[in-house]
Amino acid sequence: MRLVGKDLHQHLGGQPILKGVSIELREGEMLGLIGPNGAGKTTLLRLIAGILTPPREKLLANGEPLADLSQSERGRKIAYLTQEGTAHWPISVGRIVALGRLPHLGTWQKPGEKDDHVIQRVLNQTGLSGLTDRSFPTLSGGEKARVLLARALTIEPEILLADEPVAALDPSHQLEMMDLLKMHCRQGGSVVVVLHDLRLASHYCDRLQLLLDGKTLATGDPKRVLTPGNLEQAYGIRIRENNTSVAEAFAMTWELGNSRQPDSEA
Amino acid sequence: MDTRGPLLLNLTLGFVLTGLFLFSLFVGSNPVPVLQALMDSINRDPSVISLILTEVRLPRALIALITGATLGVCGAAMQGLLRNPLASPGLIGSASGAALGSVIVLYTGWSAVFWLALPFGGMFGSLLATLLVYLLAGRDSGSTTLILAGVAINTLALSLISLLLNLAPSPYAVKEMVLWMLGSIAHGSMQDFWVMLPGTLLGWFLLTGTGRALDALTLGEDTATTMGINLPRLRWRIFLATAFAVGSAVSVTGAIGFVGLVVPHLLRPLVGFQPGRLLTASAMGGAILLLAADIAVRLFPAGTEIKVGVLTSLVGAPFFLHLILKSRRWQP
Repeated sequence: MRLVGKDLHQHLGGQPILKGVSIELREGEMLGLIGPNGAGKTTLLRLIAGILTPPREKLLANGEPLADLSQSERGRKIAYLTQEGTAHWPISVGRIVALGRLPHLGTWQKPGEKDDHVIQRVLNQTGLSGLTDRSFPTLSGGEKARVLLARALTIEPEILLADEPVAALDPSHQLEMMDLLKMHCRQGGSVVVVLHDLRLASHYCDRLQLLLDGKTLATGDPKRVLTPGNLEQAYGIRIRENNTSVAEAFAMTWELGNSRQPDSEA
Repeated sequence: MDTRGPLLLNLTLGFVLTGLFLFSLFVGSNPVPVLQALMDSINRDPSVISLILTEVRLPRALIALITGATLGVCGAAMQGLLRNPLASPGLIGSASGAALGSVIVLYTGWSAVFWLALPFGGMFGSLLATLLVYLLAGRDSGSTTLILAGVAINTLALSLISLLLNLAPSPYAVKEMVLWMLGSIAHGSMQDFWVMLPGTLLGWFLLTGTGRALDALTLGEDTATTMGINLPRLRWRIFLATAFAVGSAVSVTGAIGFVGLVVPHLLRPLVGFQPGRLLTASAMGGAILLLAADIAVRLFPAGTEIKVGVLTSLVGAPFFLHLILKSRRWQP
């Protein structure tokens, strides 16, 4: 699904948060939303997710207004991984992941063979097959994040919106999480991911969009967005002198060790 | 996915419920040979035992069944909606609104003029209080605002009740109001049962099909919205259901506390903590608890029969304390 948002504005509590942001997302693409805190990244995701409602003609999916989709249709096409994801009851991992099939089921429809198949596949891909009976609060932070991602993947969405999915994770879990998002893109879906780790952003994302103060400062290839000038203006940081090139500064200099490599890409 | 567990639980609950219902027909100050009484009433033979069965025991058991089920299912829905194990159907003003409406009817003496005035006053009060909470909390606001609005309206209703008690013209009127507020199903008639039935059934009907949405709410309001759940509609449905069902039930029985709080909480682990599956189980659990409590007050060796509402609160309050202590241990 090709998503186009034009000149999006949004006020929250009287404050202008987005002041005319445009966004474009192509099929199979991983778009990284970066920018300092308060730049409007989460608000932009919430607009696309349908939690906030932009004017009808400003957000289009394949040329048609996204608002024309019914809420459950939209729920089948766009999945949203919130920043502070949690489960309010101590439900088991298997049941949380299975919740992802809800948008596909009618009120009285029971999950069928296809649903079970999808759930099993996602559980395998995310390495959660052994944890299905564990209750959510007993999991580690990394496991919780993976369970919530699995819930979103189980929807089989065309677009996956992930708000800072790696913020609280250790280095290997960060890489695993980003690999799973990348896998979703390889399977034909697209991803919009909010990131603060510029190294992960430049390594994994096909394109970056740098937001500052409710506007787009730069967008495009990571190398073209992460320039010394943009970094200074958006974040107030500069690359140290001994690291002359931007490419070097944001190079991914580590990877998953042998013990953490997934057995197969099933 | 496993469906055997919940089925087994529901069958067990249904079995216990049927047993208790039949047992409650036997229990009372006079031993009644139920089979004989049943034969008599079928043969339209107006013997004393058949009258006791059809005019006293049967309505009492039916009212306990309906009221308990209503409190259980509404409690489960409310806890699921607010994602809070300490929520109860009374939280949004349904019970205190019904109490205020009924007390006004008793105060003004309308109940003596028109027998339907009492239940209607209760239902009207319940609807009005719930509507106020809904308007105060706003259509899209979060759960905290809702809880605060509920507390405010409940306090207002209770203070107005106190005012009416304060201004009551005679000690007799005070006694009538207080006894009503204690909550009892001892003097329920078939007429009472028919009065409360439409409202409770309407409430139950509104709750059917909300299970999936409550399951999705486990992951928070934003996530549920993006999964196709229409939250304002869900909130509206549960509010209306509680106002109708609890309002109708409570305006006949008087205030019966803690059933709606305790039952969903007890059954939650047995349904794998899934709010959707909890609804049916809590309906049966609530009916079981209230039938059992009503049997217990009949067996209680006291000169004055203990009101069932007093018993449930007496047992429920320590349980509530236990919940608080336990949740404090979980979240240091």
